[in-house]
Amino acid sequence: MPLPSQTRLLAILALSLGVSLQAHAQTATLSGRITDPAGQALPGANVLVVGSSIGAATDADGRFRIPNVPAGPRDIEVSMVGFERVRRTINFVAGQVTTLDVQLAEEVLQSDGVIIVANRREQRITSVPVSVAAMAPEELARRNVVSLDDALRHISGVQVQDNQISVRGSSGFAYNVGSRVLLLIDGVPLLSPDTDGVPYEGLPFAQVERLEVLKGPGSALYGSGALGGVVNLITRTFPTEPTTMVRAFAGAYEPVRYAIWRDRWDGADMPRPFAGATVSHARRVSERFGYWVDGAFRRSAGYMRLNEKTLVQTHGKIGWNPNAALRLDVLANVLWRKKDDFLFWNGARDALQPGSLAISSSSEPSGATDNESNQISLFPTLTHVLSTRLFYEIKTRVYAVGVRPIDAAGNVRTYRDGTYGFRFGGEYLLNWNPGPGRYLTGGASVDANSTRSSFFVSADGDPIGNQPEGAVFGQWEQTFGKRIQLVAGLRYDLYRIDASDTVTKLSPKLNFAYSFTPNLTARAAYGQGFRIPSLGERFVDNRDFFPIVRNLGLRPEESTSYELGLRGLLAFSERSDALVDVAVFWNDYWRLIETRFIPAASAFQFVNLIRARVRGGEASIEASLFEGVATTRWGYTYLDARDLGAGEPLAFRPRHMLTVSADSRFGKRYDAGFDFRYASRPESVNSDFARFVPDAETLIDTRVLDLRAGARFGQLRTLLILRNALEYYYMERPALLAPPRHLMLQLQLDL
Amino acid sequence: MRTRCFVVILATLAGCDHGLEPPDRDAVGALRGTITYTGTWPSADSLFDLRFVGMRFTPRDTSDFLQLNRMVISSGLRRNVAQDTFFIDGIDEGVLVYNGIAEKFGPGILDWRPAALFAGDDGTILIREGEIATIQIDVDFSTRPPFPPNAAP
Repeated sequence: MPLPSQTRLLAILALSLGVSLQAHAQTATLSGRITDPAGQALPGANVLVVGSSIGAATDADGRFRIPNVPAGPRDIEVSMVGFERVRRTINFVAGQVTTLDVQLAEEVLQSDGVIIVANRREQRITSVPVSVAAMAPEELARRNVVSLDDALRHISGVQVQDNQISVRGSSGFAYNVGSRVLLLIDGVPLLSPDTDGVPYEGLPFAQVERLEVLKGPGSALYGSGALGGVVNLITRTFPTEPTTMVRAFAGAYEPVRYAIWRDRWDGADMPRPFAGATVSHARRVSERFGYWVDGAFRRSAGYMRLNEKTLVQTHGKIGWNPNAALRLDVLANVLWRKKDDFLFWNGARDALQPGSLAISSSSEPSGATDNESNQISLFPTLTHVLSTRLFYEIKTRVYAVGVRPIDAAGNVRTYRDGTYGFRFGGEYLLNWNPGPGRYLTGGASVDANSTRSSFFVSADGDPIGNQPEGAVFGQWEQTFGKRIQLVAGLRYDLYRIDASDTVTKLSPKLNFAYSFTPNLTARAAYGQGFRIPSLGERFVDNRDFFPIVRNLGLRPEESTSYELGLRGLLAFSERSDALVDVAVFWNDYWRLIETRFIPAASAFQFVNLIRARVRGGEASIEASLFEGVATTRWGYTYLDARDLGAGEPLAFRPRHMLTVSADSRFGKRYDAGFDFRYASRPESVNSDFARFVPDAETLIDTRVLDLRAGARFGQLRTLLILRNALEYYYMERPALLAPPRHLMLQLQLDL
Repeated sequence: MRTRCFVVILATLAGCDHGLEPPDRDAVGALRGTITYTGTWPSADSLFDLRFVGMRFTPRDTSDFLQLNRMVISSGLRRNVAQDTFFIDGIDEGVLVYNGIAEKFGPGILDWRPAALFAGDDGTILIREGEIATIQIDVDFSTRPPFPPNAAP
């Protein structure tokens, strides 16, 4: 957009700001009841004053009440998943109560109700011109998801290799260093400042509205890290009625089947327990203020030696509407964790014990590390609605991480012996809807990252690494008639790396969608992604524990993605439908970073090495049968992942991945379901890794079945989960045995 | 109908095997060694560790010390003694082609060099299933073998 238009836009913003601050001087009240076609109450329907953040959800009797509606003509929108949206214009008179009763008509196709924000604005999943998957909070609850990997394992095309997320083969594994998938929480990036790793556990799963996965590069909107995809966790808003939830679970890993594994570690002869509890409370205190807060505790004895973990964390979110046009949300998290990291086994005959580098002087196993860590985050977001067509958000973020090593005697060392880092910054985001079918999303962001680690030697020789960054981005979306949708985006990023180097990157995207019918859409997508190397990859330098040297010349990884897809809603009857998606994709990667042994340095080093290509296809189906009594989700992904430089398969990637889930209700009280996932054996591993880790090339297919059965007795819900029910031993990544069969009982009390 | 579907799916899946099994390694043998020391022992600050190391390959440089999967390594040996012994069991059968006593002379993880090489049977050790191979190594700290093996002494 040329500069004069931007100036005009700013003038509109400023003018509207003044108008909106005066607009709430006189207000009215709206109340009413929302019902279905049969006249039955619809609890949970949303009633919204369009162009503002004022609204309410209906109660158990379908009733709602919205005070403080600005006087004058206003559009009111009533919506609920599974029903057609209704919009009415009402002329509100100051001081009066207006009644609105609405009977919603059912939508024939119910699966279309899923809303996603992959394009930085809310859209129905059928109209998004990219590959995206979503998971609802009830799906997280019935799997007892307490960590991000627990959820992602069940999404098609996504693979979790212990602690590395791979979307359509984008990642191998590197101990969660340099994630090629960006994690967002409410749209705010959340990668650790030291290694750009994903914080799997510091997330408020009890307060999730939706989990989304964008498959393919997302750098045109989100910048570095979105090389292979984006995971976005959206937290819920505040309920009209106060809710309190207490959820507790306990279970145990059963002793492994093979005596040779048990014999080498005394702890393997008995069940290894784990347990946890979450308490959460949410309420809307007034029409202007709401909050939720939760606290969680978890403890696991682990199923391997030196694999224990204890975690305490709390999350909170407040929302404040000082007037109809302004909204402030603040999301905060504090976490404390003590855990052993099991790095690699002592061989396939001693799979429950960490291995050792026999040439190191340490008498302790070097295949495990012990540490205590803290995490604090604070994400305030200000939303200002300027008109029914224009609003902007100002998002700021502070994310701090500290890790203190624990020595062989069990003493917790200082932060100076470990790592502490900060990531902080802000973003301005403008959403403008100039007319029907046209949307402009644009903004700018500034962030800084500063980390001190005893393992870092930065460019100037000190242990502190810095990486400030800035970006401007924009996206234009246009629909032509009812059939054609075009989205074009561009982002310019600038990174300054430890005052020694400046990196810039231009990331374009182009999406095209053609709707044959309202329920059948074809799409074509092109996008570029990139990832700036983390401070850890550039600066880690240590020879005591493991010979590794820094690489100040490390360059960004880059990707280009092409995709063709078809998404459709199939209605089997008025009570059953399915969302079907098929896609083929072609992703090219340049300068992928791997650890390699450098003979000249007699040490390992992170190096730009790999020119890779990942091609493939994906098919998925999500069906809702008998008005939601039964649901099922199937996904199959085929990957052809090649290391073009070496002319061989790309390490750690499977060729076939399959996920199957099904759930069904039995009467009003009982339900049961299962998840099954399959991944074929990776065709190769990093040969340097296999040099010193025993049996690192031992690989096997993944075939895991999880079973669950639940019952609800009033406010109490019980859930029994049997994970890895087939007692199948496998590895999600080399030299690490995945969890054996384990049973858990979850109790949830909704007050 | 739904119950039947569940039963069919579960019955199909229950037919799966149990995945990874501990590898069968019956074909293993053992090695017993006797070491005699002559010459002046290095000072404590230049001798960090001492072990028998057997390799299934001939190393090219110190970086090959990281090929741990192709090596047999004893526990730490005693220092400042005239004679010592070691015993290693569970060794996969086959030939160890480059064998000797390795000394760690510095704090770095690759600060290793040979103090002496096994000289009998052309320097190779044959590990046979169920048998214990015995070797004798003489260490003279005043005369260390060259390393890499093809380097001049």
